[in-house]
Parts: sequence; C-alpha cells; structure tokens
Amino acid sequence: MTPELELHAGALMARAQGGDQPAYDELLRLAARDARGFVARRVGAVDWVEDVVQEALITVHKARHTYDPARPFGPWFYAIVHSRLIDVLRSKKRLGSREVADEAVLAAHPAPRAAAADDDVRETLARAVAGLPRVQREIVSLLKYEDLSVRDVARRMGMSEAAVKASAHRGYKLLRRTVGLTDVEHRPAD
Amino acid sequence: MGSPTSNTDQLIERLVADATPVRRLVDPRRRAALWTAIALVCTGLGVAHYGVRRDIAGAMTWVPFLLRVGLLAATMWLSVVAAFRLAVPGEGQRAWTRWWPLVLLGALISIVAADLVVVSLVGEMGSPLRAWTCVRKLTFVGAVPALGAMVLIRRAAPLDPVWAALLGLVAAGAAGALTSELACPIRVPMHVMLWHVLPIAVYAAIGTAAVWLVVHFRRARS
Repeated sequence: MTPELELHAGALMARAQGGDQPAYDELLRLAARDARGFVARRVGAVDWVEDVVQEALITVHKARHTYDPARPFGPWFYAIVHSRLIDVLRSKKRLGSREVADEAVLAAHPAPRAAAADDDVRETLARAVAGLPRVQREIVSLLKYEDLSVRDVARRMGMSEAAVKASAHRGYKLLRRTVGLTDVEHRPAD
Repeated sequence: MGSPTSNTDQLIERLVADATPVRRLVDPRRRAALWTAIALVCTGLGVAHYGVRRDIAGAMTWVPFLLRVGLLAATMWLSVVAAFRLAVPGEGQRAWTRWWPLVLLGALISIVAADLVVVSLVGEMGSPLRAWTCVRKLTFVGAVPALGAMVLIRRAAPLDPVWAALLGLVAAGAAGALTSELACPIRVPMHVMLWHVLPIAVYAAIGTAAVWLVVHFRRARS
C-alpha cells in the first residue's frame, strides 16, 4: 500500500465509521485487493487466498470501531490480515490431518464398506445422511455421492474451502456415531 | 455459484449493507487509566473493609515492602496498558509490550524468593499454612477489576485474545495483591510468597487457560 493509498484508505475508514456505505464499499474492495497481494507475497500462489481475504474482511468489519483515524491505516489493517493468515494456515494444517484420518478410517474398515452394498446398510446410511443438519447433509452428499472436489463444493455452496472441510468433518463424525462406528480409530496419515 | 472472488464480492456487499455508524474506541491508554482508577477504588475499599495493617507507619520505611508495593503497582499499570493495546489491531506489536509486565511480576517473585532464602538461612521460615484470608482478600478485591478488564478487552477487537486476557488478569491480580500488602501485617517471606504474590500467577494462569479453551472451542465450531 503506497503512502497516498494508505491515507486514502484511512480517510475512507473514518467515513465508514460514520456509516458512509459507498466509502466502506470502496475501502473493502481496496482492502481485498491489498490483502490478496499481502498473502501472495508471503505464501505464494495458493488456492486458499480468498479464505484469508474473506476472514480478514470480516475482522475488519467487526473491528472497524477500533481504528483511530489519527493513526496510519496500514499497521492496523496488516495486523488483521497477518493474524487471519496465521489462523487459516493453522486451520489448514489441522483440517488436513483430520481429512486424511477420515480416509484412513474408511480404508482401514472394509467391513462396513463391503456391507454398504447391502441394501439395509445403504438404507441406514441414507437415513443417517438425511438426518444430518442441512449444510452438512448437502456437503457430504456433494462430496461423497456426486464425487465433487472440496473446491467445487466450496464454490457451489458459496463457502470457503476451510469451512467446507470443517463441516464435512463434523458430518462424518456424526455419521460414524449414527451408524454405530464408534470404535473406529483415527490413525495419523502415513 | 460463482468463483471465490465473486464470493468475496458478495461478502463485501453484505458487509457494506451492515455498515451502521460505530462509536470509536477510546485510546487504549485512556481506557487503561479508567480501569486503573476503578481498580484503585476497589483496592481502597478492600483496605477499608479489611483494615490497614497495624504496622503501616513502620512498613512505609521498610525497603522490601516499598519495593513490593512499587512493583505491584508497576505490574498492574503496565499489564493493563499492554492488555488494552493488544486488544486493538496493530497496537502493541513489539514483544516487549507483552513481556515487560511479566518481567516485573518475575522480578517481584524473585525479590520475595531472595528474601525467603535469606530468612531460611537464619532458620525463621515461619508457617505458611494459615492465611487463606489473604487469598480471599486478593480474590474479592481482584474480581471486579478482572471482570472489568475482560469486558473492556472484549469491547475492543483482540487479535490475540489469550495474551490480552493473561495481561488483564495479571493486572487484576496485582490490584488484589496490593490490598493484601496494605492490609496484612505478616512480614514472613513464606507467607508473602504463598499468599500475596503467587496467587496472582495462579489466577492469571487459570483464567488464561479458560480463555484459551473458549477461543479454541469457538474456532473448532466455526
């Protein structure tokens, strides 16, 4: 962010604090562009840049009352983006390990899988999926029945990939509990 | 549904639609001054309730006591300033902002520990197990400042809520310990260590662990 742009952003935020929506719109679009560049400079071209940008914009919105127009906008804004980048990185790491663990569980337990061919088990599973909360049900169905990738599901649901993974993980957990796979073990990824 | 960027555009539209006027947060140092005034009122009320130590006139000329009170006051002020600065994005980013108050608390513990070692060498350790009243003083007097610190931190937007909570609780503990120092006449170092100083660290650790659990529970659910 150039010094001129930083001054402009600070002025826009000051107006936004007073409820000026066009100024806020301009500021958030400027902030989104800048956040993309900030993330790309630090972690390269990753496919979850928008996750960080969206988390940062939400934090900017929640924290907008803490911005002091007498101070530069940059340190305030970049502290938020940096913090959200760290959060998303941590959540990626955590969810990544869980995601693999779920696959490992399914691979390690062929019996329920084989039994799924059985109509009774198929029905039990369908009922269990139907009993999931709406968002989890849609995500599990798209991932497992329609075989879409996490990215495609995220696009279709209008959610971040991290949120899709988290929701899917919770859905799998509920499913395991519902169909009685409570003894399954979580194995770390090989 | 659209691309991730178009989702960001939709998010911006939602946020803009929700952009009602907000009241700007007061400068962290002014908030810290307000909190300190409240904490000192609580300390004063605590001392009035429990009674000033009988030997206050003599204590005012006793260097270890003055040093402890000075360090407690400094710990309280620096901790609350750091807590409120950390609750504002971009403020208090330097490591010393958060570590200075803890260094002072460490210095306080070290001074009392040194006193303890000196006294133990001449065989006058004293009995440590008879002073729950001092912990009660610290707890009752520190409760309101602790609650106030948490409310004021939440009112801002801490990017690192665990650190902000830790420092806020250290400040509140120091306010409570000031009451113990001004109300309790026992000079035995073991007593001062166990019932006046260490409870600050213990309460801060317990409170911070609770905040950490809440933060991680919320993140896991989101």
